[in-house]
Amino acid sequence: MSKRKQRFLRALGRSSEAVLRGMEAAAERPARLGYFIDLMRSVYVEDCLPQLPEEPAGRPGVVGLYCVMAPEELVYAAGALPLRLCGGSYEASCAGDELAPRDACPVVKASLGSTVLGAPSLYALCDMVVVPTTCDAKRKMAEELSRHQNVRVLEVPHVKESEGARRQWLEQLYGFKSDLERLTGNRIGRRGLAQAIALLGRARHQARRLYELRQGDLPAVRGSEAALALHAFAYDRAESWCEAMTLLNDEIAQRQADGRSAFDRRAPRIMLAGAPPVFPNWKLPLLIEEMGGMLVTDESCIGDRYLYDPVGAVENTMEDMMVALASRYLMPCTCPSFAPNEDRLFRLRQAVADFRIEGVLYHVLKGCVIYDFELLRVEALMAELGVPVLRIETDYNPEDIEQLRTRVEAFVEMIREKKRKGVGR
Amino acid sequence: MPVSRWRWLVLTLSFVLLTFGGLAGVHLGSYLPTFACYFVGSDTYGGACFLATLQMALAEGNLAGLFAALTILVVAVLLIIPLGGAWCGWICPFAFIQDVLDVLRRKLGIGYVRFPETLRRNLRPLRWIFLVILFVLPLWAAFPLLVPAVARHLGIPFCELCPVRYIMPLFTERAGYMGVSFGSITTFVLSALGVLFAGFTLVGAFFKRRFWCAYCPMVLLLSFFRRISLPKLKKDVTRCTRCEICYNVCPMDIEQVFLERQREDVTFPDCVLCMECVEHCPENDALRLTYGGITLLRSSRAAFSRRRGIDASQTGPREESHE
Amino acid sequence: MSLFAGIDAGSTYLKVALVDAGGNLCGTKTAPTGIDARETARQVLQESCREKDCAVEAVTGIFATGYSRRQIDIAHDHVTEIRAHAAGARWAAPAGVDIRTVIDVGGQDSKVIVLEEDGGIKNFVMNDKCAAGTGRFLEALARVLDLPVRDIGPMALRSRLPCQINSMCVVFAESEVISLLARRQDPVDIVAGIHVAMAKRIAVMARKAGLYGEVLLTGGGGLNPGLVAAFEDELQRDVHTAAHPQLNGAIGAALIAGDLA
Repeated sequence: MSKRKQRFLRALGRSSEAVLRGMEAAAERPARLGYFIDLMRSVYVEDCLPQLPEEPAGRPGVVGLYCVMAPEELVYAAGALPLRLCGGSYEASCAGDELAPRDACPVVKASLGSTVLGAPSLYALCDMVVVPTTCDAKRKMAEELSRHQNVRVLEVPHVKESEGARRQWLEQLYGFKSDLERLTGNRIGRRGLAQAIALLGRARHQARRLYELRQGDLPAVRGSEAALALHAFAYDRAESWCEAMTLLNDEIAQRQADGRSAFDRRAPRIMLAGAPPVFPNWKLPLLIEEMGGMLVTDESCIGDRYLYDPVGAVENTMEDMMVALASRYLMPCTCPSFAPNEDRLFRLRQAVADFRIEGVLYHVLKGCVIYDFELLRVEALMAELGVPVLRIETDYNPEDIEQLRTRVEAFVEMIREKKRKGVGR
Repeated sequence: MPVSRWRWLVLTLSFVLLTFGGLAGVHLGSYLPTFACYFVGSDTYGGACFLATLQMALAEGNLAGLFAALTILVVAVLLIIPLGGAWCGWICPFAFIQDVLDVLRRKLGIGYVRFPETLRRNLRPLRWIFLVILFVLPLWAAFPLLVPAVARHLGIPFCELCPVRYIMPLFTERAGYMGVSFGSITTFVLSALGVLFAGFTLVGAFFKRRFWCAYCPMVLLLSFFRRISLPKLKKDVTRCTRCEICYNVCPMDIEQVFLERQREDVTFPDCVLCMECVEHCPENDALRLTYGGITLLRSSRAAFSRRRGIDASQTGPREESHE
Repeated sequence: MSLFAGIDAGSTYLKVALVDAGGNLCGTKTAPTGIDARETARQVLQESCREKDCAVEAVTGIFATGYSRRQIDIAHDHVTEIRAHAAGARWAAPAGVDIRTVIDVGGQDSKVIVLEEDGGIKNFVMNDKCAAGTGRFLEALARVLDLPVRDIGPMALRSRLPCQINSMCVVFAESEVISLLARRQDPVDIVAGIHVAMAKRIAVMARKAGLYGEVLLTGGGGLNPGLVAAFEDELQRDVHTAAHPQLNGAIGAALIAGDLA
């Protein structure tokens, strides 16, 4: 292993371990969260994938995925293991600095950095890497990645409503299916696909259950913890993740029934909107909670939005299953790379109602123009709903944490004050 | 029991009742706004489509006939109001045939065909043509001022074209109706077209869900009264995530339900109230069936999961949860 | 008589303000924060109490604010500068003026706080990560011009045609000022230009925050008449200055401690 890679892994391990230790030590943490903490630890600190056993017949194919548009059902049906590769580490983003323009977002920089270094080693494992054409940065990233990896670009239409775009998207998925078949040498049959849909359906059911549990008055799980558990899906097999998540949900339900929670009942209920925090960049979720906010939900594509939408196949026919997959992975997605993206505003409006949100922290990752672009619309919507919005622009660099702390604290304080006055009236 | 099972139960019962009820002495009249075919035979059917009686009344060509036609229409409308599109989704015996073919296709693992939007749009006028035939040709037969040679042989013109008239009698001993009539050029043309339509419909309904319904003038007639019909499909536009599932499961290919972002009432003209969309909608209360304002059925995350064999209250292995 | 104390532990200076139950300011004290903010706070509070002839223990409520607020262990609780300034602003405003926007220009940062009708915080924008738009900007440029900071404000008022300073960055602005000097521009105009540049920068923040109504300037910037004038020009409205601009945070914290805000 090169010295550079060793140094990188050491630095990544340290910063990740710091986050994980903090979460482990948190008071009133659900015990079942341990599984997910350990999983993240093995990926980011110990640099191994517990879910990838060396089988006698050779290890199964590994398909790396970016964004959330490539159907994992197809990967499973082809007998391969999907891994989500969107990067969140500061160290990796530094490594990627020289490979991307200064204004590229840290997700892209970190992903490029990790790919070039081949560390964490899951980046080096991938037999195929799928990059959907979402935002400009990801598209150009695909091009750069292809110098190091076998990249499959998945063309995602940016206007969802047109019938032509949807038909073209369906064709893309058929193409993706045959590429997977070629890669693994396994044919994706009706039964295999139906099984994969059912498998991920069970996992999604648990993700949705978590989503509903957290709508309670006093959630027994922190937002940062729920986000970590959902995030862990990126590196786990769906079966084991689903099992662990079922146990976690059971525990949360039990704790809520017992009235146990890490939160103070009066804590302002906050939603983390905007760009996704990707592990180990747990800066904002942890800050919100440290400053006394109740982080109840996010709209992150590696958090609450990651596994939320289900696949609605009803028939056991290949055509229906493919159509259902095409719908699931395109239509309900509220990534700002789509335009028009009214759907996102409807979804946010519903989340504000479901979670009784009192404040929205709008995360803008430096370089992510599209999330920043939609801020105006989100602000207008939240003004209509009477929910204050705080925009925070940052990247993976931890240097601004003190400034952010004051701003987040002031925001939490402001909502608390408002609430107090509202009650007094 | 999921609503789709109830629908199958009702649909099957109504198929049996309307097609063979007469044998057991059941007679619900021949004013029904649904395709319970008149040509099954009055001794066999338990009730028949009002379109046949309406055309016969119109063809009489006198005041009494017109009055009878009006009465038939009024009765049909009074029957439409309480059930609306459910006549097509839950009662129509021909819908039963199409749905059986659809199940057969699924069992054989063959995917369904969905016509592109443009084709669907272009085929849309067909049902208006049928509607015109339905009301105008009988009057022509009654008052044969033009080309009386043709008018005299029109018979019950729409029924002569209707595929149901050729398919449904196959279930009774009147299988002889399935065929081309060589009585005159008019009857030949009409019956040849009818047989052609019937063939198309049978093959079509196997590959495309509710193939005939897209051209059926009854669906069109019912849609005229959808505002005053009691059952309604309602949508909460904020809860909807536009996941497109309702469109994928819709046998009538109604796209507007998931696209709608303003109106609450999404009982679109083609809706047959089969409730597939409500049953498969994965969001709580995003879609509802209301009857006269009262909610009868609502979509839910739990029902969506249950429908897919996942128990909504599913918990982990018992011995572990007690740790 | 009950007394309430507010301690504003800033990065450079630590400020203490005492108010009574009627919301009247009874005493203030300022000292360099030093390396041990905790100890400094203890001492400064003791001194201000001694002047009022009362024991520290007799102070009913002590609230800390400022960057080191969490370290102040004699405080009963802490609030952010945002809330402290908002609370102080209502108190510090000239009689009869209903403040809606507070602009705080401190040594290390600057912030714009927009208030609700009832005095609650509606929105705020902070500048961080950069010295542009903070007292440091003025200090650094005054040093280049070899002028004491306290003189540059009044000096700027004398300018007829302020020079244009385009750079917001302290480092680049320094070189701009040096090249203006090399071109033999009048230092008065340069100084005025510096104030305009700073006001422009903060005005952007103010607009982003949704500035409206009467504006109050607090923090060290409030002592600088040149900056007040520059703000009035830039925002095209009257800009009031707080009664004790530098103590505004401490006064606000004291008022919150006494639930008088």
